[in-house]
Amino acid sequence: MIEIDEISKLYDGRAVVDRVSMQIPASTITAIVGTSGSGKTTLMRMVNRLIDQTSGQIKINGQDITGTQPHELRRRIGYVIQGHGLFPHQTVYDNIATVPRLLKWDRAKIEQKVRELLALFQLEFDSFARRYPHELSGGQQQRVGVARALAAEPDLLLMDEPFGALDPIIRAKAQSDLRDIQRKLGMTILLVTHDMDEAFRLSDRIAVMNAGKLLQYAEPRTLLTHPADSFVAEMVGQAERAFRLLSLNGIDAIAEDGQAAGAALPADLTQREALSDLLWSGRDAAPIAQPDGNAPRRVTLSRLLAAAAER
Amino acid sequence: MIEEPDQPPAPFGKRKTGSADLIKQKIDKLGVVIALIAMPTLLFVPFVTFKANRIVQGQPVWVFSALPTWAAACLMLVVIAVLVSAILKAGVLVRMTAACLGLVTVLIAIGLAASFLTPEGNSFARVSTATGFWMLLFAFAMLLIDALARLRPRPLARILLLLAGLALLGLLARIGVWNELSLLKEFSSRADSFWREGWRHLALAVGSLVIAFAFGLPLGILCYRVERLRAAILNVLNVIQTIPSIALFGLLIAPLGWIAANLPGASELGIRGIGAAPAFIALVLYALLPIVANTVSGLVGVDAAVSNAAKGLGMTDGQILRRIELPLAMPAILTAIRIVLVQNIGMATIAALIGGGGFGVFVFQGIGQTATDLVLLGALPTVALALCAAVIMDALTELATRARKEIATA
Amino acid sequence: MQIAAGSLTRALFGLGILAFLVRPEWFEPALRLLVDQNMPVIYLQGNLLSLLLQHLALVLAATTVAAILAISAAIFVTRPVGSDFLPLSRSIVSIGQTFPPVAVLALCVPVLGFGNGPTLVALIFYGLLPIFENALTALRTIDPAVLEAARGSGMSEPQRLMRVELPLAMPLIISGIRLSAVISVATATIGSTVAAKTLGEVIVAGLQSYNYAFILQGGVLVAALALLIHDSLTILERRFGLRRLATTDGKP
Repeated sequence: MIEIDEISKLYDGRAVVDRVSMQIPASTITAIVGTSGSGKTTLMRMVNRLIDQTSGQIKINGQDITGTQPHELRRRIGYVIQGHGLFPHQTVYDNIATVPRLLKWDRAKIEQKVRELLALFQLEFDSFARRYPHELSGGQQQRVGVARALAAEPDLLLMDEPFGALDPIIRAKAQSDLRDIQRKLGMTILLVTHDMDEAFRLSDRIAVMNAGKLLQYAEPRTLLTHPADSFVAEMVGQAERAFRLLSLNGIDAIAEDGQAAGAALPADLTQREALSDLLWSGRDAAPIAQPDGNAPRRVTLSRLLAAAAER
Repeated sequence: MIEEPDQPPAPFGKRKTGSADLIKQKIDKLGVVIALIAMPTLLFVPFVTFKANRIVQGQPVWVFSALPTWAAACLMLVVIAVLVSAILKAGVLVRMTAACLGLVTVLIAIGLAASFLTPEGNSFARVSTATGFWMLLFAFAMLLIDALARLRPRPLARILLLLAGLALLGLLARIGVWNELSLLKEFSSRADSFWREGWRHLALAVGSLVIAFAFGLPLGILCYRVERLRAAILNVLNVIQTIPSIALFGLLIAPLGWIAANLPGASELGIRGIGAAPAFIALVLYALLPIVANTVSGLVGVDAAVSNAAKGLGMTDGQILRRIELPLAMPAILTAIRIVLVQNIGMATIAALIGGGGFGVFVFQGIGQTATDLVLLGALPTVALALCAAVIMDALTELATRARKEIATA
Repeated sequence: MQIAAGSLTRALFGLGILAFLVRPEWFEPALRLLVDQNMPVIYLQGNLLSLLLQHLALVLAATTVAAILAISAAIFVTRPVGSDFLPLSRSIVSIGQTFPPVAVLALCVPVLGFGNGPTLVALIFYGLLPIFENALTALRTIDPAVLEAARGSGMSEPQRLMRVELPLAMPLIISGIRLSAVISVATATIGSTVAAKTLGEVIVAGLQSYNYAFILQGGVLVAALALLIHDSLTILERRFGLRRLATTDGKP
């Protein structure tokens, strides 16, 4: 749990972050979105004291962060930046081992951790551990960057535009991998992005910032249905609002018993994907793939339309 | 990409500004260092050396006995004023003016000291600069350089500042401020040979540059066009550049000497083992590497899209080279000329060792006679020439680069 | 193939030099052609090998001191404490390099007298500049993302310097040391005009007595020494540089 209380950062008397307060529950993903210069990166960098606040207070699990030496604090918080920032003179192994070594873990424990993380990120230990960063593809570099941040088993992970340097297909894969890993390990993630789709795809809560102020901090659905002001409404995209809303939920939430013609849809599809399929195939309803022996279920166009207008 | 644009560079911002921080913000560390050099120098290090004649051991003389009381007091006051402006974070222009004032004062003081200490009508006594003078000059020069580095004047302004500085020095020399100084006495007793060696020095440095350029530019173009030659030629030039000048002179002297002695008519053509010839050839050889290497890198650096477009417009290879590639490579080539000019002016000094003439003649004579002023007579103009060449060539390069950028963005 | 031919040439040249140092008399007939009958052909005032070693020792000592001073200074001016000195130090380096080494050498004599002293000081002063320049460039051009990652990982300031900044700056620093050492070989040669014990002595003796054989053997030995130092430091530099051939950033 992170408690941010009336935090401000002033440069030459000008507030870059202006009295922001928010509480981030443990084991959730929160995205801070905003245009460049909105103060979102500054806000995040105050959490691990890469920048010291001018006023206000930040507590992590009840402890004020100013009570710890900055570098010791940072060893307990994972940090991933855009363009990964891997150390070019060190192997993948050494990169991942950075924080455990700073914490003086013993050799065997470090190796075990590196093996575990490489496996988690689907990188073969034997072929990757001894490689240098420039010998990896962009997606692999990014995964090693996240693995390095997770090496000391932090319960908080800060990510600054972590997928900004990746091309769209690899980015989508990286995002879903991150979601899976977060569910598996259960850490809290605070993520800065200017990509609204990314924020909607990943996060449990979204904080919208503009000109140093926190405009709204809420669940994605609330942001769409009840935007705090016109800026937030524009930020979440008025033209796509209905589709965004549909993409937040899976089809089983609106599935009903019954038969339908045509190919079955996978059960883990989002409502938006189901709508797209129905429109494309010209059907009013489609069956949902079910385990053998279960009663047939279907999703209908009318239910999807109703869900899209729900507020 | 990582930092927000409005974020200042200092990574550890202090949250509260205490009184200690306030002092830190008001006091310039460099100014403190300069003051720590200048004040003790003024008080404890000899300003000039007095010799009854050119040969005897000199007597150190401190500022307060080297100058009339009023002049010493003036010098003291000026030094303190300059140091105060250096320590307190005064504006850059104030600091620059203060530094210039300090330099001029010290330069006038040394002349005054010379005329004050030299007995009326005595032409044997010598007054030379001593460590204290040089250290004060050094301290104020640091201040001036620092101010200039922070001010970053535009290229033309830099050239104008240089000219103004030279004009001021010329004026001071003209009105005879330094006439009683030993350095000037050394100069006036050999003014003819000074100017002769000076021209010789320039002829060596600039002449070899011209010849090297005439060979180097086509060689560079060749290396650019024929990639197989590139590595081989650059390697050979690299090896030549690595060989110390005096060794290269030596390597050239032996064959040239042999030719002069054994080939009839060769010595009539001016080919001799010892003299200007090997020095000139060596300077040309040294100059080739920067010229060829920079021509190649300048040409390689030309955007392929630009030369493709030129080809698409129907230009021939020769036209592309002359109208597109060489103009775009010009900043790199100018940089090479700067490197070569500065390097040649320095190395031409060594030519004197093998009878090639130049300012080095005075340096080596001075070393032989342990006459510091004679060494200075050779070294100071060399340093001044090299500095002027560097400032002017840097400014030209910057102008050319800027012009190219403006064309590119227009 | 080209590289192999180059190495072969260098190896043969090296063998020749070695043979000359050990058995100079083998080369006497060839050198004899350059001088009059009654002149000495091989420089015997000081053993050539010991002159070479003294030359090398002078260069190594000066380069070591210069490297320590220059790297410390570059570290100092790139920290927040030393930032007041950054603009000045950069200007001094570019101005200092316009000073001809001979002038620096000659001006040291009145203060330090003749011998190895002034040469050593001139070598150190002149050797500082390229090392400082390269170290400064290297420390100031490290990918900011890498430094950010180092801070974000919780490295303290000394840890960042020792584990990230210096290792990454090392190839460029070594190339500065190489430049510095090669310049020092040359300046040390001229140092023999102020009575430093170096191979320049052979050349100067040859110049004073118009003995072309002395001049040639001195020139060849000094050139060999410079190339030896240049090549060995180039190898060291490559070894350090191998790991960071490519850019570190995922995007262009």
